[in-house]
Amino acid sequence: MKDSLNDIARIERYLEGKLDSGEHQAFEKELETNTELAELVVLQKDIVDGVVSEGLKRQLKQYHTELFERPNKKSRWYYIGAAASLALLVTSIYLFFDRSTSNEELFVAYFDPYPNLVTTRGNITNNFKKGMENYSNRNYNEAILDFEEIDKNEPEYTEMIFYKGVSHLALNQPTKAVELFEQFRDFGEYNEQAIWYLGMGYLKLGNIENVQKQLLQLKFGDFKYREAQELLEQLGD
Amino acid sequence: MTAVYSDQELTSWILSGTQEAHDRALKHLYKTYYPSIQTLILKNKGDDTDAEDVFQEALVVLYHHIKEKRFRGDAAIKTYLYAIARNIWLKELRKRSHQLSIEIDTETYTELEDGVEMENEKKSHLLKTLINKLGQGCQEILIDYYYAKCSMKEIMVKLGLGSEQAAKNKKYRCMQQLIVLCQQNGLSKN
Repeated sequence: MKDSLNDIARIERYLEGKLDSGEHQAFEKELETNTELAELVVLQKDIVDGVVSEGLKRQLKQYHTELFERPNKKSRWYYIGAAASLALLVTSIYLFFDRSTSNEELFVAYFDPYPNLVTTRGNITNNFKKGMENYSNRNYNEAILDFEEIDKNEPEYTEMIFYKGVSHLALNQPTKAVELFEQFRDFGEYNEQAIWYLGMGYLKLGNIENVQKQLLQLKFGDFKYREAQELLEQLGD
Repeated sequence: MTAVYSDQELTSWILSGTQEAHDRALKHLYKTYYPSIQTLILKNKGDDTDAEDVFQEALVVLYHHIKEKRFRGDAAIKTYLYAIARNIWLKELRKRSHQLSIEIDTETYTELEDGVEMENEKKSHLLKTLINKLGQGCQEILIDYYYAKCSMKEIMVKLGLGSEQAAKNKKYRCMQQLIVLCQQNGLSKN
């Protein structure tokens, strides 16, 4: 892979003006001949702009709610936000003082809750909708409660189990997550994702053999294939 | 009790103020100028959601123009913002193929270079979609770093990582994911 982490770091320092003058000159000289690098510089700059726009837009949405929406709605969001930050603080402190193993560090570095890609179609049940909303707001406990209301024969049952498993991981409940993923096995369109997150669960539990077993199932082009290879390499030593 | 700030103050806070001043400027802009844009949209076939979207979109454009020093305070922020919002809404209406004429206030109408703007618009729309495809943690770390200007140390604590280097690595990995997504979706070629 050409766009290695090193290149990314170097381009970033270039864009932020953090290269010293010698490095800077050398970099610009390289840009003249290395078109691939030059393209990456443009792309990375576009990405930074895009991220800034997205961050700004999210902040503006908050302001809108704060400034122009009914007060009862405001207070509800306020409490949800406060609860979420408290939960985050507690987990940060917990993780901060309890980083005994490097597996733990690897887990934190690689685990990332799956984005909410559920389209809110008209026919989706209310509980699932609520659950996914809570999931997006990182209220995983609430989300799990909503998910548990969903009946086996509802069409979104499989999807729900997947997000429930990820929620357990986000709550530092790897045993529950692993149980769920292992029991269910067939996740349909979420299969690759489930393999990865089951691996994450085993990583959190420190069961390296099972992590490897999971990650090796991911093939080129699958979800998180690249990360899986990296992780396997790091677990190898 | 609304404080009154000059355009110059607001611009300088966005450009180089503390996080607190930056946020204060944005909130002030939002509070002061939303109502007039809302009126514009509501009077021209839009609803409240349209008003919110268009205004936020316009503020994002203004924000980038300020950052890139394209907005230099020759026009008042009010006029500038209004013109951008109007352009965005006109385009949107055209897209929705409503045939109607919005009363054009020629004095304040700034023609944007249409071709270029359209390209940029498509690009930023695609980028937004791709950013939202990242995991939540990656979205947050990138926004925290590039938009909120959090230090690696703050990010380290927030993520519960053991070192700044670990946080940096995670951030680069997120960037890498996004780069790959962009390349897969044809965003790398210009």
